[in-house]
Amino acid sequence: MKKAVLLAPLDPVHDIGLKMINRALLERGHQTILLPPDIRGEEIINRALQEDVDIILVSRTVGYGVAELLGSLIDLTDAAGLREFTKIAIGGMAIKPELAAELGFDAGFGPGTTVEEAVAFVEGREYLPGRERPAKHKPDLTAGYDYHYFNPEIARLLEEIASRAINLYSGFTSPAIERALLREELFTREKEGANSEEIASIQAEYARLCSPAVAEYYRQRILPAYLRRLGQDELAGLAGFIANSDQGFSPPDLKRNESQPVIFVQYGTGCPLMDIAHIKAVEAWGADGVVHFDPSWGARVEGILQGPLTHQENGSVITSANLELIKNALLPSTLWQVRAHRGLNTPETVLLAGEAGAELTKVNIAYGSLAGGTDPERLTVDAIAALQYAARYGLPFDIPTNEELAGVPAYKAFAGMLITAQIGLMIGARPVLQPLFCYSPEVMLGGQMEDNYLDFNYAKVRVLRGIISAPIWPGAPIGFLTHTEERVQSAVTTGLHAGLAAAIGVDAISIASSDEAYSGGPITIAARIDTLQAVKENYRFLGQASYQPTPKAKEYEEVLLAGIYQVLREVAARGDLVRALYEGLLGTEEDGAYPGRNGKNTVNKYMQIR
Amino acid sequence: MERRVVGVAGLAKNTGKTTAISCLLRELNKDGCPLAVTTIGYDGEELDNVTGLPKPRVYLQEGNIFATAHSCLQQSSVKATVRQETDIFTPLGMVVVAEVLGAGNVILAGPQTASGLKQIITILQGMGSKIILVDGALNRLVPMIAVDVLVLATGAARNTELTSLTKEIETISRLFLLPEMKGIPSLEEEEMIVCWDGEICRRFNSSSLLSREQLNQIKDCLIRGGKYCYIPGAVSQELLFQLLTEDGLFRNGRGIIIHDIFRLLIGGHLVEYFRPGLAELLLDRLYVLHQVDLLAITVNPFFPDYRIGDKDYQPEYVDGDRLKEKISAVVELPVIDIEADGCGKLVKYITTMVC
Repeated sequence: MKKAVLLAPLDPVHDIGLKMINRALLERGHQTILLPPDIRGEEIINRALQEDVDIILVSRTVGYGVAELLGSLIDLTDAAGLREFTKIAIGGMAIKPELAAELGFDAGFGPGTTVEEAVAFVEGREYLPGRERPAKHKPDLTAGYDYHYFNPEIARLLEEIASRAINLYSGFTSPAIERALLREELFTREKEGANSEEIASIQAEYARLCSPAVAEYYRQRILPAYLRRLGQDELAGLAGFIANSDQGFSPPDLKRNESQPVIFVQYGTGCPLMDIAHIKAVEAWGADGVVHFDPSWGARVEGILQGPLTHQENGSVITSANLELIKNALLPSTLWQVRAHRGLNTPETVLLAGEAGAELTKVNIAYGSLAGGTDPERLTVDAIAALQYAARYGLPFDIPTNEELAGVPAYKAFAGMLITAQIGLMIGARPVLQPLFCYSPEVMLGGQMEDNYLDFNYAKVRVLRGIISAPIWPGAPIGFLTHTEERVQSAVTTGLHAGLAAAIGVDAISIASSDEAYSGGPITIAARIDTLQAVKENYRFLGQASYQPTPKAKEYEEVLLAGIYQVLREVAARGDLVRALYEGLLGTEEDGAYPGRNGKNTVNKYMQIR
Repeated sequence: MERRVVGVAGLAKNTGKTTAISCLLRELNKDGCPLAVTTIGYDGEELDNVTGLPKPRVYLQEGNIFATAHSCLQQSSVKATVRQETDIFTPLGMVVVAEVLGAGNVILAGPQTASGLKQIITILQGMGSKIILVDGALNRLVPMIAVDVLVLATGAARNTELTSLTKEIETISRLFLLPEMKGIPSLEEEEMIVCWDGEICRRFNSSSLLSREQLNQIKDCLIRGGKYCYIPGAVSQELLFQLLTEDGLFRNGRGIIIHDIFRLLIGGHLVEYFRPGLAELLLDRLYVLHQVDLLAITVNPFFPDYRIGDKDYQPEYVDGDRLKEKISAVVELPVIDIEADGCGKLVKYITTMVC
């Protein structure tokens, strides 16, 4: 039903809020009377009586003494008999519902009130923030990309390298692969209703393939000292917490338009319950996806534990139960990534991620073996198996060039990334390229970011766009090593890098809270909100506009391309990806890359037993 | 007739309304009188919405009944059960009537209009409350027409200049003596301005005196033979003065009837009533349909002092004894400083009414 609304700005200025509401009401077909500012209360009441209005909207900045003025106005409306038929609301700075109640109004609208909220009041609808937003959907980052190579020579080199790698190493097995197969068997037998003896038998076999600390758990149910099982009372409160958090809530979309990058936030406090609290907070503030960070020691330990476990240090342990807890807490629109880009459990991790319902995973042979501490041969064998699981479960996988942070030049890291991407493509998986927007050792020494942060990042993305049709998702996080311990600065630099990402036209970004960006200690919700708001404001600032890099960007792009070519030729000539990794073709010790030792000599050169 | 509903209204914020209510609750609960309480605004919070200074809490005992917004129950430390929901809404949600099961502080957000307050009072009386206390809000007065007796709170927060403050309260207390127009039952239900000469001879198309057109209509009524003109709605102070000061209109005992004294105290500047001779004119030519029984005046020497340098408010006080002395000299009512004197005197007056 259309309403007759009287809008009365009591301030001599500051009537813009009412003007915006007036416009919205007219657009919706309501009849409005917008009074000029600074009219006396009696005139307002008289006009309301003459026009027989349904609603009176008043705006006024409230200070001491002004409250009495508004109280008198309310008394006038009551005395005039208006209150029986007319609702009256007050808006302005310092207005809160409690103050509106004290003043005698039917509603109060303070800072942050949206036009929609005021319109809902006029129309007699309940206003539930978030509900009026269009439903957020879960995007497929790989949609629209066909992985076609624009550069035939690079395509040829990659196919050669990847084919040989798959031919040489896909027939191998490792403890990780065997454990993944046993895990699959466990899942299958559990679904079939196997009895406890059968389950125990599989677990015993699993334990034989684990490091002592993990094996101890399967044999005697003893957890390492820094882990404990979550209690029933802790878990019991979780369902209620999630229900209260979500209650019909529709998360905001920080993107101004569909071309702006999807926003991922990292979590991994160590405790899944705390993680969920962080996840609910970042969902509420507009994150599109979340990335699971597991503990660094997990990469050095053979085997994955079981049960809902909380870890007393950074990183949340990957177990089937923990992943299930997280999954059940996510909003339907939230993307979820579980990483498997280094370490001794990559195939099983991807398997668990797929079973748990993750949308994405992360695999990178080059980084994991040159800066992630895993033996190159072991990681190559495991990664092929992991990518097979990724293909099976339809999980796109991103390939982070984190070795840049160790000092490996971008062109070498990109070569390694493209090789992993091609291996994945040949197996049937869908890669997502993840160059870093970072102030890496390379640029510290080379000066590519001496003047600005734009040129080199533009070059990175453009060189990749010129090679292959594939999604690009800079991480991890964006702006890494441009942050300081100062919270505002951290949020600003993250926001600016987000704007840059939008301007360049990438598909997603990972951001870090201003706490974690500097790795200064515990990560607070407030710091997370800072960076999400900073991203939002940069997206707002930019819209569909762009930045203009200097001609240096083109120079850097050419240097990158030439470097990628050179590395790929060398790796192809070497004929063996693993040997290439050991020999530093994708990053030397001088660069800062060291072939990992975890899992050395654990690859079984015979065909898989199973 | 038993008079059960006691309202505490103020002429400004921070004049001590809630302090008076809190004291009355404390003392009346000791007497074991079945009590109920509500507000026409928002009370019981820890810090003032505007100044940020501490506020008096509202403490209820087991068995007390109170009306508040449902959401305020969760913020209250009192244990209570909801006895009845209503169709009255505030910015904080639906007003419910609840009974205290375990003593504690309560946040009150009650009905904001006269009709809403009447509805709540009916419910509270139906639940057996012998005394119903209604806390005012800011300087709002109109809903208080629903109460049986009124306590008027004033103090330094209204005006730190004690001579002006005293003059104001003197004038207001005199206005409460405006004669009640009895014996015209036909006016009770009127919602529009009417001209009455023994019966209703004309009915106008507005309820309030807020425009020159309405002023001319009323003048016309009085000139053409109407004895009284009844204005049920709001009254513009400026237009009313224009009307009342036209001598030619008020020959032969003609007069203006307004609904109640509160219509005079809102919307304008009370200082205007201090004009020499004006109060006498009002008493001679103005009537109320419903008189409000003014029981006492409470005075509060406190006022929030805004410090520009600190950009915040600090508590300050005028001389409380002098304040009380000056006002006592000009009103024929009990004048009480609740903080200094307690509310024993008020309690005595109230309990002689009912319990």
